[in-house]
Amino acid sequence: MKLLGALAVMAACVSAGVRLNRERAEELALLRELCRGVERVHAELATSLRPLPELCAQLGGELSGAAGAFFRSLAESMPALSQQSFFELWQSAAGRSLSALAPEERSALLQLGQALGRFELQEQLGACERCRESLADAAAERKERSRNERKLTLALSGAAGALLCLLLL
Amino acid sequence: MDGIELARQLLPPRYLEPRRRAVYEAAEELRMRPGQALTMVVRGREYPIPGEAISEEELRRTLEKATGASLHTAAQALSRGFISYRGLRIGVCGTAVLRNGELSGFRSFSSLALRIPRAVPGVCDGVYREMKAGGLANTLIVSPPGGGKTTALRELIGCFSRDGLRVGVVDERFEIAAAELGPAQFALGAHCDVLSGVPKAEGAMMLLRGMNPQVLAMDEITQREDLAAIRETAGCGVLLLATAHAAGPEELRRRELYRQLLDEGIFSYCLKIRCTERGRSYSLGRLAV
Repeated sequence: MKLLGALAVMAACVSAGVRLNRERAEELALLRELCRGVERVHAELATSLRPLPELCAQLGGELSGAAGAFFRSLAESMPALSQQSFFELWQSAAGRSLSALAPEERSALLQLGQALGRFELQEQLGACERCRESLADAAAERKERSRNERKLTLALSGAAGALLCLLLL
Repeated sequence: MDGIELARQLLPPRYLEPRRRAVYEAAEELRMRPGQALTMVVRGREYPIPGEAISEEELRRTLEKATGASLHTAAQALSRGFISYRGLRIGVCGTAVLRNGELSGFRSFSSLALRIPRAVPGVCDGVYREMKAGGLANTLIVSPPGGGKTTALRELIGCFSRDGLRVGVVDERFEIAAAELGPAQFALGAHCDVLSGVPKAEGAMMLLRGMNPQVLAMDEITQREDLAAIRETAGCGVLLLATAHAAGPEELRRRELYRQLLDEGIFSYCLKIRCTERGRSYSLGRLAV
């Protein structure tokens, strides 16, 4: 019985470590999808001058995970444009779908929301470029950190499990 | 379509209180300038509407509503000085951005003029009866800017259409029919075909080729291409209705483009609109060649 209990504690600790690593991987994937989304916004504005409601609906279908959910939520809220500004809708959609972002990543995205649709085209393109760069830098940093910390997290969670087992036994 | 309501939707929320609704009833234009109170134009005169001054952010918000948060899609229209929102013309002033010598947008906005489209049913019935009595012929509607040319044109189109004549309308700026979202928002009669968003010269040819109109209507002849289209159309046995900025035929003759038009005798009638303190008066006269 004691052995079974120890095994369960060990498994719980290791799975916590695995979950933590998975969350980091998901956050990285979200940043990459957002980068892809911002790149698409830039390209569509530069080449076809697509209206934003149309573009958001399209990106909602193309992007996966929370990034897709963000653009879908934004597209669905567009009819409220007469009551709320585009930035307010952008901010609300980010609050609903992008809670996993770090404050500086969220801030980069919000700055883009302030420029889109309401400034001259080149200014909008510049804002897309700045946002994409910030998100790409954040993704690279997260990737590096994740690579360094992945094994450490697993080792620490395993060690914590073993220590708990020893204490309990 | 309620033009006032449409314009009100674009205003800052503090100007939307129901008690203010009556204030706007007589407005022909609403003007927004940062640092100044909202003003309205009634019979050519501008009056301030009491309230807090408009901010530049509110101007941007109005444009955001009018363009569906897609100002970049209106760049071409902005280069002509205005954007259209469901039949409402929004004139724009500000600091322009030029790229390769062409206007690509505005860096900042300094004023907006929301011109409110109105239907004034029956306003041209008398004029139409007069035209019929004298024999229907090509008609040029003239008045200074804001004088009600488009309203008169719309009403005349309705008269012709209700009389069973097929009327082709080239609505380059979405002001005559306000058919931006599909069907015309103004009552133009059952025999009217509207081509929207196409330059007049091109649109006139498209209608002639495809829709076999008996009457062709277009707003504001301003360019040489429009003149060429008018000549072409007049030679096809189609009745023409058009508008031009001028106080009267004498003023038109002072401008080369219109002098040519008048000298060629393409238009037989001139419908002159005069705007006075008491309202508008319409007088139909024969144009001398």
